[in-house]
Amino acid sequence: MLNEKELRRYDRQIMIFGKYAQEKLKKARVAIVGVGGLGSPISIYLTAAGIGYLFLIDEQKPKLSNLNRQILYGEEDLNKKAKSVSAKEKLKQLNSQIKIKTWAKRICRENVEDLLNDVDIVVDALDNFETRYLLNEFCVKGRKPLIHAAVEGFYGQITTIVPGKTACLRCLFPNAPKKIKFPIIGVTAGLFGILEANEVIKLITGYGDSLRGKLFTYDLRQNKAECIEIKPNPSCPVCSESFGLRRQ
Amino acid sequence: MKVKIKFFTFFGNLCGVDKTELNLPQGATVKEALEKIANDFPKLKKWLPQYVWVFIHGNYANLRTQLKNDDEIALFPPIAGG
Repeated sequence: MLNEKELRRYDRQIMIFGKYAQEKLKKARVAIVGVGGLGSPISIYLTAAGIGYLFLIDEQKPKLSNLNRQILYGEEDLNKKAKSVSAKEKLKQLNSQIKIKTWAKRICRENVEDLLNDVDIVVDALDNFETRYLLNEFCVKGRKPLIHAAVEGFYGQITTIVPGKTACLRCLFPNAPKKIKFPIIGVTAGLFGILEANEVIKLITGYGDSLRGKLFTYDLRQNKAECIEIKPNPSCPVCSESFGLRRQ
Repeated sequence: MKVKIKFFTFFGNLCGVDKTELNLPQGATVKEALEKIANDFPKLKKWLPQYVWVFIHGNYANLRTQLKNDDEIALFPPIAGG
């Protein structure tokens, strides 16, 4: 149940999707893996929207070269606390009523299940495919929705993966790109982080159309949007078996 | 046979066009198509044929996938940043 203060706080969005949907947001448990360029706007908007429980995962400390896009951090945060811990402090100022948990160590094959077992949705805000593939495997196995985005320069891509219903990340991108120092302007990470937060809100409330099974790209340099439907790969090493089992 | 190529995000900017058409021999593979594209658009040589995500009518394709007349091939540069 929403209390009187929450009804006032979320009044403008309750006008869109109603009290019941706002209660769903309050009950939701969402993990944000990576609290950098994408993770900053994701966590800010999900905090503001009243997601009841956020789990922030990032072990790195803010560096000077992060500040063009990682808008949760300022000069006073450089090389001090882990991003997840520093982010929690900022987000608590925005909304003290939600629960925020942090993990300031690496997420890896040995701990992924323990860390993410009790969340409803996983948001990929990472900068590498090695860990993305790990999240993908966990989400397919555990049947948890995974919101994926990646950005570079003025370009980005986003999709919503619903295991058993859509292509998984391996179906989409079976080969990881080389890990490089990538160019990025803050607005690209900002836009795609907000789009990821939007996908989370739509999945939880059931409001609007999500990007499940669709790969959306946007070119901020030339203001060009594209959206293509992507089908599951029948020989995907990660998810094809789960589709097979569903059919039986 | 003829196939249609669509370039996504910065591939389009590098090529100066969003789409193109290719004439290929019957039975040509994705690899052969990508090599021809790299030849026609030298700025893509850094990526093709290895560093690209390829979809044909929304289905993932690898370098050995055989093409058919009128196939629509979407080429995405692999991006990983966050």
